[in-house]
Amino acid sequence: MSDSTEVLQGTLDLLILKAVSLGRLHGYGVLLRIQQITGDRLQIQQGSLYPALYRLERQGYLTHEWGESENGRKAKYYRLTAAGRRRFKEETEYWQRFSDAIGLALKAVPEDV
Amino acid sequence: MSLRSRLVVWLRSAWRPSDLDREMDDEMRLHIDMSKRDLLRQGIPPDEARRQALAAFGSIDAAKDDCRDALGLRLLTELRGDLRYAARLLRRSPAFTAVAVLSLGLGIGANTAIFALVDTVLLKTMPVKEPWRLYFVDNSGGKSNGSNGPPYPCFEILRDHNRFFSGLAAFDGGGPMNVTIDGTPERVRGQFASAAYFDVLGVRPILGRAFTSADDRPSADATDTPPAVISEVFWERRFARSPDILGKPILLGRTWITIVGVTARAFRGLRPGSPVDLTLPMRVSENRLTSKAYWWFSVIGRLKDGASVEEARADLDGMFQAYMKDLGLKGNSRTYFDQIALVPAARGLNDLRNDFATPLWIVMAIVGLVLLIGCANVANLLVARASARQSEIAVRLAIGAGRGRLVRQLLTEGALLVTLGAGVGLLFARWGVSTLVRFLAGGQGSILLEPHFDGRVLTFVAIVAALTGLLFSIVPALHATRTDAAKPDSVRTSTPGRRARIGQALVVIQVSLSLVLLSGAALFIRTLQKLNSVDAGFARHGIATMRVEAMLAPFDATRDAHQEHAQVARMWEGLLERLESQPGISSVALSTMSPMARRSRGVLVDVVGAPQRSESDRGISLNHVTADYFGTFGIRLIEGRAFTDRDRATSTRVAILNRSAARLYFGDASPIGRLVKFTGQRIQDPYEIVGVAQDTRYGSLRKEPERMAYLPLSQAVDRVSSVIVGVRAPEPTGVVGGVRDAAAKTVTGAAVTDVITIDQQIDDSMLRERLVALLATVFGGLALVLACMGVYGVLSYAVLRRTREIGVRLAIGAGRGSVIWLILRETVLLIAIALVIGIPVVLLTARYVQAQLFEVTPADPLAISAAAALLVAVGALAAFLPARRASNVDPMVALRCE
Repeated sequence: MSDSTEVLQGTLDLLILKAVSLGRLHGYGVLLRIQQITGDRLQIQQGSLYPALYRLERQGYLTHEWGESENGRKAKYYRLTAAGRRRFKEETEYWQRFSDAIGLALKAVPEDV
Repeated sequence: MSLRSRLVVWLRSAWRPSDLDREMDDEMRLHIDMSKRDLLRQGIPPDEARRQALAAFGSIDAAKDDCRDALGLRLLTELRGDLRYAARLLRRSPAFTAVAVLSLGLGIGANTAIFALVDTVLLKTMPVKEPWRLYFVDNSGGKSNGSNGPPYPCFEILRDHNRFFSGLAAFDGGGPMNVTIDGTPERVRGQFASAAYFDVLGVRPILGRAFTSADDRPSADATDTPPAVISEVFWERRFARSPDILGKPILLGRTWITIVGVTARAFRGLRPGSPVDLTLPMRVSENRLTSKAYWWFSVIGRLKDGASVEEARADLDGMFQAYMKDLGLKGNSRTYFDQIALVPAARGLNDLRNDFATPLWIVMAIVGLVLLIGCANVANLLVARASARQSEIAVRLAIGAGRGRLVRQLLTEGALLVTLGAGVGLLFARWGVSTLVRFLAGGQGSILLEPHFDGRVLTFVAIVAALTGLLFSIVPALHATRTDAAKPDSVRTSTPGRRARIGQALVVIQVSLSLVLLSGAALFIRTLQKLNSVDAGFARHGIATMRVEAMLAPFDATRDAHQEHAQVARMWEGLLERLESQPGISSVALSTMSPMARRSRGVLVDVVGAPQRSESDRGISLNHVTADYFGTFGIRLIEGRAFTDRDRATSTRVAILNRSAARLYFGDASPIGRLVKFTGQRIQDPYEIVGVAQDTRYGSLRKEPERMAYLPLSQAVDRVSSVIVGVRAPEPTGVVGGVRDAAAKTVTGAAVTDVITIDQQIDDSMLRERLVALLATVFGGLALVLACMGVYGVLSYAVLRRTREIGVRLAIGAGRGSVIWLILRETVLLIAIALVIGIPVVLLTARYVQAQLFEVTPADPLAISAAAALLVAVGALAAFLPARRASNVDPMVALRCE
């Protein structure tokens, strides 16, 4: 785990939206999916996942339904709402612009200045 | 979906916290179990897998808390916790809770009850359509309360030709009417109104119909009876809401009328305090409608949309001035009825408002002060408790509780207390309001009010409670959290002084406010005493009066006035003779006016052979009396003689003046033998003055006596259609049956009404004074009790605080007496400071009630010193218990207790 990185403040929401956008998931599923799609390179505080899910639900980006987990237990499945999908798109575009800008800035060499 | 479902989620989690908790639990357990399962699959042994899964998740409770935060439930959760904690604290100290809740309940209850009354009498608008567009049309230029409408013929002109009103309606003041329903005579409160009345007000019937424009004109069909509209209250009380009452005939005097409709409960006429149950069209009292100079009713109009008050007034005034010019009226009536004014009618006629505005606001201020005193009590108790909890609070601060959070918790306690107080207060208020309503309805003037605990009153309670809660809990809350977190132990030595000073300050405030209230009560009681002992000029006890009305033949202007009046007088003499021979009556007289009856007949008088005086000087009240009037009512003759049986219709016409009249017209000279004439009356003969009677107060004990002329009933200038029978008897009210019998035998169509003793009438005339004095006394007493509780609390605490010191004093030989004095000294000092502050406040505020006082100055030294003495005495009593406890301190126990 030495090469794993702490999640940047505010990006956990984006990761959750991304994870859920690929199909409905329960809480643990969200964790696994994020680990999967990030190639296990980010370190997620598991306990902090749930407050983020609740917050996103309160903001209307997620909704939930009750279903059965793989092992036959009652589980709460989250999925995106229409507003969540819009939000996800905006956040993605924003993140792309932001990371491009940071990337550009970090690539600068004395000659460019 | 989003906003609503979000709200649903929030509310559900807010209302059912345990459901939310279980959900979160399930979700997180599943997470950990799955994580453990995955670890097991990687070959990690079960115990270790479980440990790692839990460790990776972190604290479940913390996660749950964060989730609740994320849902925005944190405040709520904390509030719930605070409330539970506060409730536990209150339960644990029932004595504190009871005293606090009772203090608040009495204060809030008193305020609520008085506010309900103030709202009903002073603030509420009429329950009619758009009341702010209604105006009374007053033709005395607004000199009256708006109730002076023009004569009916003039009203008809205004009604038909005005340009700025959507409707004008006339109505009379209303009053008791004698009707016969199903053969049973009854008295109902009725009024006459023109056809447009209900339309103008926008009052719709809930059954049947209101008036139509046809109801303004007499029906051509003689068998067609006039319609009557009754109130829902009357419908319920008399007819049990039977729908069959439509078309029911009832008898009013000699006229049959038919019930055609019922109006809804909310509306009972335009005169607050005098609800109307029966409304009849104007045409029932036809002869008054044709009189061109008869001012006897009020006019109300609804202004059209966009019309200005001034243009509407000018429009009406133009027509009114033209009418008055045609009438060619001179003198008094023209100067009084000089121009049209529009008086806002949204709150109805304001007689009751005029009478009760000041008294009610005074009482409102009184109960406000009582609540403040109660607040100080609760604040004091809270400060004491906060001190007791100082160590707890210091510890909580030390382990990181925010001050804001602690203040919030203390405020929650306050809110809980004030909510309980408001609940108790509402119960007190209900009781108080019904008591006050009964009190006001009790007198002869019967003020009938129906205050409701509606949204307005409940809003008032909520606001008062919120302010009260904030007031009494903010000081203790801030005080308590000023504790130094770093030194939890230091609190025991460093703060009692401050706490004691706050307590003392609060007690000083309480005592000085109590002084204000008690002085006020004393002033009002003294006023009542003075009124009761004022020389009214007549005897107050053992006299009953009742009105006997005769149904005379219709007025015939062609008959000779002398003959007609004499004939009527003979009928009344027949009644008198019968009464004189009745057992149980010591003395009896008939008169057209009686002391305190509040009816009067004003005429103009001229002294024969003297230059005519100014209009206002010529005005005099006229009373027709039988010979024994002066004896029966105990009115002394100052000069000359009283009337006798020899003053008959045919003998010399004689008059008696009262002292004020004699002095004005004749100065110091004797009026005996001089002649006076009553100009403008049907009988123009001169009357010879044979006596001067002492002045009497009529109507109100407060008013200076008016000028009055007495004439023998047998020589009346009026056709006397009703008299007041005054009876002096050992059992004054026991003679009513006899009077009824005698009247039935001697008087045509006799109706006996308004049976009342003079004592009762005097009480009624002082209704306002009695109301204010009663409430001021009750609330002054309440303030006294609350202030005593404050004194007691502060001194008890002082004794506790100084136990050690007292122990030392006793150990080195101080006497019990000196210890008692040690404690009492503090009380005396506190009360002295309170008096020094309170007395100037009394002197300042008492000026505002001056108009309500009678022959008592606002700075009445007796009242103020009585109040102060009472406070000192009761305060010392309250202090004595803690002081005695102090003197019983066992030195050894005291020294060990530290």
